Parts: sequence; structure tokens; C-alpha cells
Amino acid sequence: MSMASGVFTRVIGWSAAVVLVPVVLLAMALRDPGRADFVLGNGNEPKSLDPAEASAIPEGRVARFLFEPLVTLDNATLEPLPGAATSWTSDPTGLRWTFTLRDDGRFADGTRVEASHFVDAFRRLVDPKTASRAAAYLLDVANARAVRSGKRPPDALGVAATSPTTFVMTLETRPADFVRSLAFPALVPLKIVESPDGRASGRRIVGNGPFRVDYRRPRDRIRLERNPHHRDAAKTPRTVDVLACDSAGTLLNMFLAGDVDWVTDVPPTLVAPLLARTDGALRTAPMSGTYFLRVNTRKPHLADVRVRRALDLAVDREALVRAALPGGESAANGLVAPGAGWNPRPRRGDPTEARRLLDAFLAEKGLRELPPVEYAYNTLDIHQTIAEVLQRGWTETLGIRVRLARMENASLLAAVKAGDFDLARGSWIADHTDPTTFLDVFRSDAPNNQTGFADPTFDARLAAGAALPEGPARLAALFDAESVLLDASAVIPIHHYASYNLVARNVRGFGLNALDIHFPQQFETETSR
Amino acid sequence: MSRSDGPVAILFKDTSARIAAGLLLILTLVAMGADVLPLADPGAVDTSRRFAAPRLAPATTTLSAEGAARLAAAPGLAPAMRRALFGDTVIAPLLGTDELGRCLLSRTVRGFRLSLAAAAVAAIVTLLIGTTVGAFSGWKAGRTDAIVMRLVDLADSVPVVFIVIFAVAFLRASGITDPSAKVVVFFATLGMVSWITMARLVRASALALRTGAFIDASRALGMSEPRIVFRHLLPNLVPVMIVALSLTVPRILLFESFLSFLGMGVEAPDLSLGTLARSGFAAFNPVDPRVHLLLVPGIALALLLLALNVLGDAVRDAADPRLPRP
Amino acid sequence: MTAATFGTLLTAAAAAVAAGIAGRRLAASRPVLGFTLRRLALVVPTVIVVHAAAFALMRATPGGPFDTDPRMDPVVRAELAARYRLDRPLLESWLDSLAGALRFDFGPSMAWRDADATDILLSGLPVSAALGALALLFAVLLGVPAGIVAALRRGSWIDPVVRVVSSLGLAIPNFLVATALIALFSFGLGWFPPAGFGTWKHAVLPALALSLPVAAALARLVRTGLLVELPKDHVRTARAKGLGPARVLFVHALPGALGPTVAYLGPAAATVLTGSLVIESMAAIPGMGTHFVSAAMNRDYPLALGAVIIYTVLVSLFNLLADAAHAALDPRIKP
Repeated sequence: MSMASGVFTRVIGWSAAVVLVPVVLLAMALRDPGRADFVLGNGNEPKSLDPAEASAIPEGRVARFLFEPLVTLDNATLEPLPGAATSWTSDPTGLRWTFTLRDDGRFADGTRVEASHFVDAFRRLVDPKTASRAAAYLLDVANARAVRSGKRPPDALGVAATSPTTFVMTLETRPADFVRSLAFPALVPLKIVESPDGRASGRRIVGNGPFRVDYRRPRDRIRLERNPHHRDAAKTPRTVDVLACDSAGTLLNMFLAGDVDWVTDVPPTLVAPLLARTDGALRTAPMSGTYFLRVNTRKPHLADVRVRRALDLAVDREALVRAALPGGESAANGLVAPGAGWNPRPRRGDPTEARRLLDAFLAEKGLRELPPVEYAYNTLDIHQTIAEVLQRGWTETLGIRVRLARMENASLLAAVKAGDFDLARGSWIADHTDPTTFLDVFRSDAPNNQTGFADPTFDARLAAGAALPEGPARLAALFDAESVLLDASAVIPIHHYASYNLVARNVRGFGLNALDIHFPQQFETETSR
Repeated sequence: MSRSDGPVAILFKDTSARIAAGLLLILTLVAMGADVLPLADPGAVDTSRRFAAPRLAPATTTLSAEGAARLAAAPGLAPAMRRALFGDTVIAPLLGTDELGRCLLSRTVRGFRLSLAAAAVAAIVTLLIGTTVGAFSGWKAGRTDAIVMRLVDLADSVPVVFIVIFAVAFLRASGITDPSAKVVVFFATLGMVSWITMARLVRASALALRTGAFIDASRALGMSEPRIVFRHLLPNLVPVMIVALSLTVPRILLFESFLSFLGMGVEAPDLSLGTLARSGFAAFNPVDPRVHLLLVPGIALALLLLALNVLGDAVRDAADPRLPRP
Repeated sequence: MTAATFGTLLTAAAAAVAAGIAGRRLAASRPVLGFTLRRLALVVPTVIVVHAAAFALMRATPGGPFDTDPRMDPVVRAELAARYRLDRPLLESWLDSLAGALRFDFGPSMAWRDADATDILLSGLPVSAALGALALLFAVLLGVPAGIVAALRRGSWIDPVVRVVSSLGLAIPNFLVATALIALFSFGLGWFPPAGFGTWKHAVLPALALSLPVAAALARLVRTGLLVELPKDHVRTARAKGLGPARVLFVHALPGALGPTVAYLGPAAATVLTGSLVIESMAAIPGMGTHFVSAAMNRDYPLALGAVIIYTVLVSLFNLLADAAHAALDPRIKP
């Protein structure tokens, strides 16, 4: 009997353990932070909070919370606004710029932001040891290219602090849209506190933005708190959560449950029903970005412009946009996304002409049909859909067999770089408002060209246009350059992007613009929710 | 049950096993005959009917001119039979359509076919590897057996899911561009990581058989070893192979759908039940639920697995009531 | 190869051999301990095999961790390759990485520059562990009573219902279950949040989805075990002595019947861990599973290897625990 009750006790003991272990583990794993005043569903986990590493959109978005560049942009109009600098002037040549920093600029640790911090930060960005992609934004500064290639030390860079509040930049060439380009999230002052053991995990970065990091849990959230030293501290939300979640569907669910205030992307198939809702939560705007195909002009048949043009003109862009895309996108008749002063191009697409060009080519070469063409694209449902629609269109209009080669992004980029493709999906999202952001990609010496397209006429017209001051003449010259590129059909534009943001009703000052950038300083939220 | 009942008779005494076997037979026939049946082209985009809900009337329509031309041009016996039997008739999208207006019924049938093919290819691979390893180990017995079984233990402690994900990433980036070759390699990979159960069961059986009376007798008759193995050992291992398959096949199917759901499995334009469920989940939301996109492939997969599990239970009961159940 | 690498490899090999020999020695006097030691010795070669396979597959796959950014210039790429030692000979990289794995230090993450792979994984581990433990708890709470009732009420309507439901539980993929649970309890009733992690409410639906296949398997195992055990003499004797039905069940029948159930907890833990890959990514839960697929796709070598190794060790340990518990519970089992 006593043995039996021993067994009984043991059973009870085991059961208790079975219940207790999960409860204790759960209690340890849970860290209920409570709902933040403002919650951003930010997509992928940011690679780093170091703005020098801010190479993708989610990193840039976080950086705008943590840092403030010299200049910020109006969320609605993209007009430059004071940031860390209150005013700026240039000399008549446009090559020497003087920025006056605000007196009350403060880092999150309370210390003053001085011009020397900008000097250090800009030198660090260009220093090849930093390995920052953002250096590209400073290449027009005097000596930047020499520093970048290691021929000159970083302190040779043309930046100087002539007083604690005066920051001077000397340029070699006048870049397009210079003042606006300074709003890029990497061009900011910062202090780095390395961890004593040298491990990456212990490093701390102090910024001058409206918020600072409270804590961070990978793949979950970055909890931000208001930077009490920032001038806008009285009106910004007390706490902000930046959620790392790359599933648009999941974020939508959380938004609808009221757990998130700003979602930067929605599942494509849900755009229509969300727009149909009356709450106006989904805000969409045309975006300065283009979805296109690269054509490998080094491949035997694709080397002939008639074949490329046939493929190009056979695409019915309007039908494709209607059939495969969510709603805000527009058919791309050119590479440069439409914007202020840029003439719209006529509708691109002419199946009869496409057929005629291809037949002429086949007749000349004595071919019955074109050998199968391969279209490479990366694994994402929307690319798949577009690929299938393109494939059907080419087969029906031109009788060409198109093999779809779906691969993950890394492999696609490797294949494109190695020139191992016929047609490949590509896209370009503008990082400033000038057309050169698109056209520079296809200069014959540009690393991202990768089509084999090299036309001295295009290079010359692009260079000539880019040298002109901002205004209609410059736009007209760049438009002519683009015509050369489009006539060669080395790149087949498909559609221009649209931005989709889900924003809670109580957020004001969000703004909608072609670059889809939003400075949180301008947000006003009613914190009672 | 009487002693004289053979295993097959025992198997089909069980009503649920009979139902499961019937269901499996019907589903397999539909999948195999998919090209003969008047199903819509699973890839045919029709954006005028995106996300259509399931609807039972009209049950059939006629092919579009383009679809008819495609069918007329299709080579092979199955399309010819379809033309002869059904002409231009085509089944309407009874189970609704997806985001491109493609017929979900037709897509589910194709997905089902590919999932079955995955299971078949993987099963063959597990049979080849598992039987070879198990029979070798059990037949040799002694030291060899001990070493081989320790290696099997080692292989068993490898969490295969994780290795397969790497293998798939590799496969994706490899030079293989022929989609059907890719799919077969993917299925074979599933088999290559699922042979352990087979090896263990076959080995136990071989170990018991090698000391059995008729093998001794064959040896006494002076038969050569390969002859004994192929004439007497392997045929007697067939029941245990079937038992092992009944355990392995459902697991492979679940594994395939799991990988496809993670986006690491079958790639479009190929379809499996897992990839269909994945797009169903992507379309599922509280604004406009579109449940049919998830439910149709999900129920198809669950039915298939349920039938296989029920049949597997019955097979194991018939083979040996004492064998473990999962 | 550095001295540290060499030292680590040597220490690991020595530890494995020592555990193996000690386990063999103790096999007769302390069978459970001896068995545990021998199985522990097997963990080291397992880690090496898994590491080698994963490393080879990753390095053989075209496209490195820094090839995904088309705007990155060659200066940057070369600097990064040097910083993360990708420019070293393959054999050296492999040995360094293996030694790191054996020390449980996987190196800095290549995709997330602010953190070491080990720290990233360790921040996710408690979440996955809690979720997994909760799932196993639900599975036991659902599966064991169901199995007991089915066995005791054999012949009534309950038994076939439990059998059908458990067959379904084994057949329905857990992503379907999770979606159904979200649809019902989150969108429908609003009881639990659809995604995210922070409060206990966030853990309920994912754990439930993870637990169902395990609960189904447990119900079947308990039922079968009890059906074997109930007709045995000692159970009949206990009942004849007039002991209450609860006492007969819990003290006399269940301990013997639970053997296969306990042995199944190892594979069950593996099922839950695997399932968590899907469930975590569906519900945006910051566990280890979410890292796994993305690290493999991003070619974040240290993080991907770290995740594989941690999963391997966890699965090995759970199998070991379950087998040891099985052996302790039932002296007839020769481990």
C-alpha cells in the first residue's frame, strides 16, 4: 500500500512538473512592454541601427526616428525644411555651402550637437573601412573619390567646422538636387560607444533624433522612447514600437486589431477591398520607382535591336497593370517615373509592329522561330504573377516560347551580374527626385547596368543634361537621353510603383509623396487611444 | 477472425479501411486522369473573375477559342481522349477562383497529382535506401550490424528539416533550370531524409529471418548467398516494407506541404497542395476572407492524409497487431 | 588554424570519447546513467556531421551574404568580406566555424550587424522553449485524458469519436489549424490577438496549433497502452481488492501503460520544434524558428549554422531525456 501511494505521489509530482515548467518558461519569455503610444510595422528586421549601414528602406525608416540630418523634407511636398541646420547658403558657384546649425541641437544623452560631429560622421561614411554604401551620397564632395579609393586619408574630405554652429561643405561638382539629398538618413551626426568586450551585441549608438532606443529584441521590436532633449519632445509620442515583421498579411491583421498604427505595405490582393472601406486607413500615392526587365544585349538573338523591340512592344502594359497589380500602379512607358516637369510619354506597346519586327528578323536570318527565351525573376508572388502574364502575352503575340526561371533574389542578382540571363526582372526606386537617379543606372560604365547596353550617344546626352542647372532645359535634355535608351529596348519598362501605407486615423502630418518617406518629427498623434 | 484469413482479407474486414481505400482509389484515378477530364487549364488567367466564390451552377461551360486551340494542339494520348470524350466542354470553376481568376478545382487536382507524385518518388527512394541499409545490416548481423545501426542512430539524430531547407536553397540556386528535373530532385531529397523507419523495420525483420528454418534449408542445399538474399530474403521482407511505407508516406506528404508552405518546396508554375494552401493563407484576411482558397486545398490534403492514416492503421493491424502505432 | 580552434576540437573529441568509455563502464552497475552518457557522447559526432552538411550546402550555394544589394560598390564588398573572414580558405573557415559551434559561439551575424548570432538565437530560445513547453502541456492535457476515456469506455460512442478526431489531428497540417484558430478566436470572438508576442494571450493560439498533432498521437498511444495494461493480472487484482477506480487507474494501470507515451515525448518535442518554424512565421513570434528560413535564404552563415546546431542539440537532448525516462520507468527496456 505504501509503495502504491509512493507511485501516486510520484504521479502527482510529475504532473505538477509538467504544468509548472511551461508556466515558468512562459513567464520568463514574456516581457509585456504594454502598448506603445505609436506602433510602426516596419517590415524586415533592420540590419543595423548604425545609419552607415542604412542600405534598405526599413533601416532608413528607423534612422529617421533616431537621427536628424541637416535638412528634413516636408512630408507632403518634399520641400526642404530645417533639420539639424536652421539655414543654409551657397556661394555663387554653387560649390561651397555653409550650414548654420541650431543652438539647441542635442544628442539623446543631452550633449550638444556641433559642426564637428557632422565632419566626423561624413568622414566616417566615406572612409573605405566603414564599408558604407551611403558614401555614394557624398561622392560630389571635394576629394571624396580619392578618400573612397584609399588614396587620401579621410580628413582630406571637403567638410569643415568653422565654428561650433557653422558647417561648411566644398563640392567638386554640383550634384542634382543637392539640398534635398542631404536629408538621406545616413548623413547624420552620431556617437558610438563600443562595448568593452568588442562584441557586436554590446555596441551603443547615440543619435540626435526625436527618439532614442529603450531596448531591442531581435525579430520582435525596437522600443523607442522620446528623446527628452529634442526640441519637439513636448509633442512627440512618449513611446514608439518599431516592429520587425515582414509579413504584410500579419501586419494587416494586427492593424485591424488596433495593435499597430502604421503599416508600410499591404498584401497586393487586398488593396482593392481596403480602398473600398470608408475609413480611409489605406493611403496610396504614385511612387518614384520603376519595375523593368533587363535585356541581355550580349546574347545572340537579343543582340539585334529588332528582337528586343519586338519583346518590348509586345507587352500590353495597361492590361498587365489591370490584371496583375493592386491598383495604384501605372503602366510604365518610360524608365523615369513621371514627376514635376517630366513630359509623359506616349503609350508604349504595338503588337502589330512587334510582330513585323520579329518577322523581319527571322526572315533575314532564315529562322522559322526564335529559340526559347528565358525570363529570370525572384521568388515573390507578385513577380510570379507578372511573369506568367508576360509569358502568355509573348507567346500569344509573337509565338515565342518563354521559359520562366524563378530563383531567389541572391541567385538572380548573381546571374544578372555574371551576364547569365536573357531577360531578368529589375527595379529601381528613386532616392531623390531628379531623373538622373534612373538614367545613371544605364550609363555604359555603371555597375548596375548589366545589360551590355553601351551607347556613347546616351552617355553624352546624359552627361550634358546632368551638367545643366535645375529647370526645363535640363529636363528636356535628360528626356532626350532617355529616348536613346528606350529606343534600344535594352531595358523594358513595365510599371511605376505606388506606395501603400495603412495609417491610424489619429495620426496627422503623415503626408504622401513620391519617395514614400515620412519624417516622424512632423507626426502629430492624439495619444489617447 | 479465423486463422485462414489472409492479410488482405483481414485488411478489408474493417469498414473504415474499405472506405479509406475506396477514397484513395477515386482520388488517385482523378489525379492520374486529370488530362483526360474536362478540367480548365490550371494556368489560364481570367481577371474578370478574380477571387470568385465557389458556385455549383452552371456546372459546365465551353472552352474559349484560345483554350480550344491550345487543346487541339496538345500532343499525346490524354488530350486526344479528352477531345474525343468531351469535345469543347469544360467544367466551370465550381470551387471558385484565385487571385488571377484561375480555376481552383483544376488547380487542386493538379496540386493533388503533384503531391501524390512527390509521395511516390520519395517512397521509391526510401524503399531503395532503407531496404538496402536494413537488409544488409540485418543479414550481416553481428559487428557489421552494430556499426551500421550506430550510423543509422547518428543519421536519425540529424534534424532533417533543417538540412532539407539548406538543400532546397542549394537546389534553387543550382544550375538545374528544367522545372520537372528540379521537382524530381526535390522529391528525391524528401525520400533521402525519410528512410530511417524503413531501415529499422527491415533490419529487425531480416535479423529474424536469417535464422529462420527455410533460409537454413536453402543454405544446406548449397544455394549461393546472393541467390538466398534475392530469392528468399527480400520477398519475405515485402510485408514489413509495406508497413514501413504506411508510416513514411503520410509523413512525406506532410513534410512536402510544410516546406511548400514555407515557400521552400515546389515552385510555380508547378502546384502542390502545400503551395495552394500557402497562397490561400496569403489571401486569408478579415477584410475579405476568401476562405475557399485555403479550405479547398487544405481539406484535400487532410482527406488524403486521413485516408492514408486509416489505411495504414489497418495495414499494420493486418500485418502484426503488436507493431507500434505513431 | 588558430590555437583556440585546435584546442576546442581536441577538448570536444576528448570529452566525447571519455563520456563514451564511462558510459560503457557504467552500463552494468548504473544502466540509466551509463545509457545517458553513451548517448551524450553521440551528441558531438552528430553536431559535427550536421555542421559539415550545413556548411557544405551553404558554401556550395551560389550567392554570398553580401551579394543581395545591387547598389553596393566593390570597395564595400571587399571590406565586408575581409571583416567577416569570407576571404579565407574554405577548410580554415570550416574548422574555425566548427570550433565556434562546439564552443557555442557562432560569430557575428552577417545580416544583422548589431549582434552576434549566439545572442540573437539566445534571445529567441526562451520564446520558442516557452511556446514548445506550453504546446506539450496542452498536448498532454488534451491527449492523455482523451486516451484514458477512450480506453475505459471502449465500446461506447466515445472511443470511435476519439479515434476519428485523433486521426484528423494527425492528418491536418498545423498551418491550417492555426488559421482556423485565428479565424475563430481572434477575428470571430476577439479573445486572443492574431499575431505578435508579449502577453500570455499571444502564446495561447500558437501553442494550441502546435499541440494538436501531438495530442492526437498521445491519445492513441495512451489508449493502446491502457488496452494492453487493463486486462493484466495486477490491475485485475487491485480492482478485486475493492480499490476505487481512480486509484486502480492512476496507481496500477497507468504507470505501465505510459511507457510508449513517455518514449514518444522525444519525437513529440521534435515535432513541436519543427512546427514552430511555420507557426512562428505565421504569427510573427520572435522565437528561433523565424530566424531559420530567413537566415538560410540571406546566406547569414553564422546565424543559419547556429540555428541548425541549436536545433540539433535540442532534438538530441529531448530524445535522450525521453529514452532515459522510458528506461527509468520500465526496467525491462534495455536502453
